Order: sequence, then structure tokens, then C-alpha cells
Amino acid sequence: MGNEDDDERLKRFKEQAPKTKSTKRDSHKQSTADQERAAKKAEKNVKEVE
Amino acid sequence: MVEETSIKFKKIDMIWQFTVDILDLKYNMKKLARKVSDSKLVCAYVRPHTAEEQLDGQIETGFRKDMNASVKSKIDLLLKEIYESDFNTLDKEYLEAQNFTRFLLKSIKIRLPFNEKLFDCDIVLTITKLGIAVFNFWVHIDVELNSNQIAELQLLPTKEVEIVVEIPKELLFELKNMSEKYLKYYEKTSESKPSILLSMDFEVLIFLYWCSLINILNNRSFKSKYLEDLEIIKNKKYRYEARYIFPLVIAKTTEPAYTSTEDMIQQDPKQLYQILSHLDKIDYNIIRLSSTVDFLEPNLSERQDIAFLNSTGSVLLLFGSETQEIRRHLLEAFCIVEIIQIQRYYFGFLISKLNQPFKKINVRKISIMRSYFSTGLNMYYTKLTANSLASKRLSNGKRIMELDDSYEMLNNKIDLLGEALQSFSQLKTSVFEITVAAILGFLSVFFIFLPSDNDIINLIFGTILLCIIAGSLLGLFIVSKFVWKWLKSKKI
Repeated sequence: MGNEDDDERLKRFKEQAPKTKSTKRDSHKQSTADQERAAKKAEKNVKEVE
Repeated sequence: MVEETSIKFKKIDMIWQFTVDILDLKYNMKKLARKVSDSKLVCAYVRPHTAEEQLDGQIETGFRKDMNASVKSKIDLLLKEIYESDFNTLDKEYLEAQNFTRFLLKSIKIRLPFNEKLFDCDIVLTITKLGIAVFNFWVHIDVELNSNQIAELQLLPTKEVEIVVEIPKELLFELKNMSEKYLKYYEKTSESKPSILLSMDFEVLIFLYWCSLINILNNRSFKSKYLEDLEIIKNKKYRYEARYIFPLVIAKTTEPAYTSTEDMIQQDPKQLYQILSHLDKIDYNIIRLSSTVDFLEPNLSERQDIAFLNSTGSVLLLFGSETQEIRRHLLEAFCIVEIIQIQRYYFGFLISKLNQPFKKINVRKISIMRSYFSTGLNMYYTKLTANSLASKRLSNGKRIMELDDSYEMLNNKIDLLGEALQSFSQLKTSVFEITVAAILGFLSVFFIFLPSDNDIINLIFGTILLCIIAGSLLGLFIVSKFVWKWLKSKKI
């Protein structure tokens, strides 16, 4: 039971933690462009618009 | 609390500069220009010329001929303006050193989150000798926006927000051998349907352009079923993974209209501050007036009807209602901001290499770093600008971006690491010398007390002994490599 709670907490933390991709106000700051992630998104998320 | 009149920004140009790595240094701009312009994605290119080329009248600009007349005239005009603004802003010798080439790519249309309209977007690609490219996405927005919306819009590329992009078939052509998905999209295009509408976020859009450019530069040798399976992605073959984003906001028409931008800064500083500081989702009236003072100074402009304001996050260029030749002034500012971004990226790349663990750094890497550093100085330390206004903008930009500190840090760190490695090498050499001397000494003693008078037996013994010595030296060499690695990782 205790372990389940910890798992839930960890899951919630991961969801709420700042993403690698910068969302900071000063956009000049380095935004780590994980090319692998971008490539996956280019394959999975891109959709044709009618 | 004194409330400002809400400004309606009616005509905005937004230029997002995306600085990316293109794997290695590019020395020959002439060859590079021809190679990249071989792609139909490129409409035209222009590069600075050497003094000899100018004397011989060999001014080279590349135009794609198979375009319709209206596109041709638009491209011709933009190319001419870019060439002129580079000439007016940048130092002659810097230009003659041919540090960069500019390409005008096929323009696209983008639907941004706040409006259903598809906005025209020009793409100017700058490739530098440092192996860094800047994709300038220049969107012409002709709908009404307020300062809050502009503050938010600048950060669009950093957020996972969906945009709709009219992707030209020329880009799909470059992508088709790298992904079956994009091959299918390419097959859907035709003469009558030269583009396709796709939804994606900005990160993906930049990735598609980056990927295509790298493939063009590598003779289109990338082949794969899925983009994530490309060798360059799987094995992380790029030098620096990061990309930098920097927005330029150009406000051309406002309501109320201001003839002098000085009036605008004095009357409505909070809204300008909101744009420059990206303070989105708040009412600008709650911004402290005193905090705007430092932000809106210095205004790096020599005219009352133009304002050039620079913050760590963006550049805001304001024009008065009667300003003429807006594009010329805009391009002169653009050119300086782009140089700052290139310098920032290059220093960021070098710092990332120097921040590796000490055990991963060797003398060879330091020598390469030194040569990279010295190449980088061609775009940093030399006289870059052709007039005092451009010079002021450049040095102010460097100060805000803390580039001088980065330069000092890099210089010191390369020296310190070099010296540390030299100490290790000296230690290594002396231990090696002692060991070799000991082995050779042992050999001579052995020969004095040779075990037999028989020459054949002595020959066999001698050969075995030589093999043992060679083996020992090889073993010593291999073991020393591990020992030095281990020693370097030790704390003091």
C-alpha cells in the first residue's frame, strides 16, 4: 500500500516537474532540443489538416 | 495608479531566430552556396564577395528560375534589401572574409493559436563558417494584438502549442527518403497542389527544416523509414544538441498612432516592458513604473521615429507612423541581432564541451578546442560593424547576453585545462622513462650472464627475451592508459 502511494507521488511529480524543453520567460536561454524527442513527435504527432 | 491607454498593435512582424548546429565548420562559402541552392527549397541566395571577386566583377547570386513572376519580384526585392543592409551594417573586411551566406527559402504560411488566418512567413537561412545555421522565421501579422498577446506569442516556440503550417512540397521532397510518413505526404502534392496543411508544434517545424538541411549538406545520404531511426539522431552525431530561440518584435502600425516613438516610450512604458520581459497573462497596469526605467534604456536609435530596445529575452523595434523605408531599418537591426545569436550559440557550444568530466578531456581535444576558439574569434573579436549605431547595438547586445564573460571564462578554462593536462603528460613521461630504463638495464645484465655458450640456445633466449620486453612495453602502454584515466578522475 505504502509503495503504491510512493508510485503515485512519483508519477504526479514527473507530470508536474518542469519539462526539459524550456518554458522560461527569457526564451533566449538554452532550450535543450532533444532531437530524438522532436523526431518522434514529427512521426507521431504531425497530422494532416483538411 | 495611473492607467495607460491600451495600445492596439495593428501590423507586427515577428522574426523568430532559431540557431542550430550543422555538424562541422564550413570553410568554402562558394561551394556551400552551390550545394545548398541545389535544393528546390532554396529560392535564392546571396553571399558576401572577396575583394578579388569584386574587382573581377564576379558578383554571384543564385536565383531559382522556375518560379512565377510575382514570387520572383518579391524574392529579388528581399534579396537586394538583405544584400544592401549587410553592406551598410557590416565591416568591409568582415564581409570580404566571407563568414556567411544567406539563403531565401520557399516561404510558408502559418496559423498561429490566436487567429484562424494563415499568415505569410518568409524564411531566411544564414549559414556561417562556424558550422552554425540560423533559421529566421519571419511572420507578417496583420491582425490586431495587444501587448499581452505579443508577450505570449514570442514564447510560442518554447511551448507545446499546436500550430498549422502549409508545408511546401519542396520540403517534403527533402524529407521523403528519411520517413515513409513524409513520402506519403509528398505523394499527395502535385503541380496544382504545391503544399499540404499539417498540424505540429514549433519544435517539430524546426526539426524538419534542420533535418532537411543536414541531409542536403551531406549529399542526401540519410535514408530511413522513420526520422527517429536516422543515424544522426540515434547516434547523436551532432556537436551540440541545444538550439537557441530569440524573437524580434517589429511594431509598424499602432492605434493610437505615434509619430515619435519617444512619445510612445514615455506615455506607455508598461506595455513595452510587458513585451520585452515576456510578462504574459498579467494586467500591464500592475507593473511598477520604476522597474520599466532601466529596461527601456538605452534606446539605441539615432532617430526620434525609430526605437531599438533590447532585453535578455527579445528585441523590440518600434516605428513611428510616418517612418519610411521600414524594411531597410529592420534588416539593419536584424543583422546585428543575428550576429549576437551566432556568437552566443558558439560560446554555448564550446562551454558545453569544456564542461565535460576531466577524464574525458585529452590533449587532442584541447588543441581542437583552441583551433575552434580561434576560428570563433573571427566572428567575435574582429571589427564587425560599419557604423557607430551598429557598433553600439552589437556591444550592448553582447553586454546583455553576457558574451564577454563567456569569452573570458572560455579563455581561462582552456588555458587551465591545457596546463593541467600538460602536468599529467610530464608525470606520465617521467614514469614511462624510468620503466623503460629499468627494462633495458635488466636486458643488459641478462646478456652479461648469458645462460649458455651455445649460439642457438642464446638466440632462442634472446628472441624470447625481446618478445617479453616488447610485450612488457605494450602491456605498460595499455595499463598506463587505464591508470591515467583513473588518476584523472581522482579528487584532490
